[in-house]
Amino acid sequence: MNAFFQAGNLSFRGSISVDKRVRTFTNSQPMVRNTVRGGPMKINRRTLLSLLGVAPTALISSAAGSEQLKNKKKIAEAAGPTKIETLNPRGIPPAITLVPLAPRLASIEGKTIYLVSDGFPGADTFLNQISIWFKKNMPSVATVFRLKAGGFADDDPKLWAEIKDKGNAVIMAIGH
Amino acid sequence: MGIPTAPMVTIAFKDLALTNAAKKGMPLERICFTPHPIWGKSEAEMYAYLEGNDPVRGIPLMKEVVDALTKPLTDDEKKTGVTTPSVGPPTYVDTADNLQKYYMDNGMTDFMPIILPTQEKVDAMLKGSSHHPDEVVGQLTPARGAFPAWQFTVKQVAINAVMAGAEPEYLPIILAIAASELPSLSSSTNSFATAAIINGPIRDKLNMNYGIGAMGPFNQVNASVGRAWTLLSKNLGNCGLPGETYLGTQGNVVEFNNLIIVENEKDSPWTPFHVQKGFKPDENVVSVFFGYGISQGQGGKGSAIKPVPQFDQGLLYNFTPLTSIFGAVAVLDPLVAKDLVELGYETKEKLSEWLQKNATLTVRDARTMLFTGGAALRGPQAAGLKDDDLIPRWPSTALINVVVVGGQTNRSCPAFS
Repeated sequence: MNAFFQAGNLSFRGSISVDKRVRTFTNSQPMVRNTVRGGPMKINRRTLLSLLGVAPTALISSAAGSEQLKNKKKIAEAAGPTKIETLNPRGIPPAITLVPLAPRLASIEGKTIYLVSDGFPGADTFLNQISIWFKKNMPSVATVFRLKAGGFADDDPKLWAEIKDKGNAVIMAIGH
Repeated sequence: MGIPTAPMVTIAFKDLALTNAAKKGMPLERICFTPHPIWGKSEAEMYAYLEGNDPVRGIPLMKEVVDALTKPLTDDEKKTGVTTPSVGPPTYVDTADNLQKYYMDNGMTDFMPIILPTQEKVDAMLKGSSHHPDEVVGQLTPARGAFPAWQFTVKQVAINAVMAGAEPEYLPIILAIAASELPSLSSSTNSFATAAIINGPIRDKLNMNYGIGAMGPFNQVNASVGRAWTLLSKNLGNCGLPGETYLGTQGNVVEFNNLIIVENEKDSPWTPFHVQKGFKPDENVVSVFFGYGISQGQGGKGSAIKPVPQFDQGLLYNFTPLTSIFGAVAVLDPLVAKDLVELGYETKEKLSEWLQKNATLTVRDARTMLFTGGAALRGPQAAGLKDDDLIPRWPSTALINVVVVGGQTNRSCPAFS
């Protein structure tokens, strides 16, 4: 683990490894910079450890301790990694009722198509281009532009009733 | 409706359109795709879209539209019935490391390590509320009306609270946020942010931070409550699936933890926010907001004037770039609030009224703004308006709220909108 520590007015840059009991520095020659005076200063390990709040004796006891730790680790590894059971955090989605598509037309020639905008920017201009396309390519098709009421996700039963009464098909454009 | 329809959607919304059509019972809906974007393109460019191909299927777009309206239905397109979507098994069993990865890889986290929700931890969390674990709290959806809403229970909120690092005593706040049914991750392309104002004695009971760094990462309650909001939005409302239920083009860093604004009632010279809204001072209240984010808090016009800085002018300056598609919340350090009292704003309401009256824009600007000017330009007051006439950015004082938070180390007055 690379780390950047500040201890008092000294900063240390080096590589350290950390276990549960003590911090041991694997960087054999840590460079300590005195940030107050500005010049680099060499420092021995004992001083450095004390600056970081670690007793030098901890290093001595760590040798015997590490053997015990290795044994424990071997036993744990033989037993395999511990498995735990956790809960699914997800909510409850609604059931889906399949909706069959509306019956299609045999042809749109001579039919009235409603061009419905959801109100997002650009949809009105885009639908107008569709109207122009039909005039050029399928002139028998009549088009009627309508802006759906409300926000993009709002229902507009009044418009749907009008279309059912006067139209044959819908092209709905979602601008953006 | 029973009328053949050809929906046209830009390619940017392909996954959203296809998955949402399926969730609404029309997995084979004949959606035709155009290039993206539509907005801002010239008429000639739009016409060229029509003469070109559907970028998803590679076939001529208008032929596809005509076919969508005329090609006979297949048996699959006529199908009826009911299906129940699965959200996976009730529990997962694996090593802790593998489970962390599983939750992350399956979109159940904010891509930070979580506290794994074991039964033991969830049971402990549930002790933080008197509500029954199976009680339904509400519904969440990435956009109301556009996506099917998911239902969720107290226990499911508790699971997400554990994952966020919350303690059991925080659960009432998290439940209140969940019950608001406002997700922290909306489907909008705008990368919106959410905020919650917390009022009442629970702030001190839990040692919430309303002083120095109140809206920053300096307090476990503030942090985990905010994080829980995003986790529960993902897991309980199916929000935050990029391309499918989340379209925010740039995302928003606020979405990690959201703005948790614990009002500094002690140092505020004004009535607490919840009391303004009709609650009693000893009631605990969570108020939720939705907007683009938080503006600059310093540098406003008038803030250097002596002896009393003109923070009304400073606030007005900070309000000027805000869109009025939403309301606005002035988020004031107590120092600013006290200065404003000296300037004659004895109440928050008086400040809101002044801001509503003076935060204006020209009719010309309103007409060219996307969504923003719409409200001000509708209705009888808009009749006869000229381009250079000034109109209020916000049509109502009720849309301008004021909250006091901060540690009085600086005069800061941003706005959330």
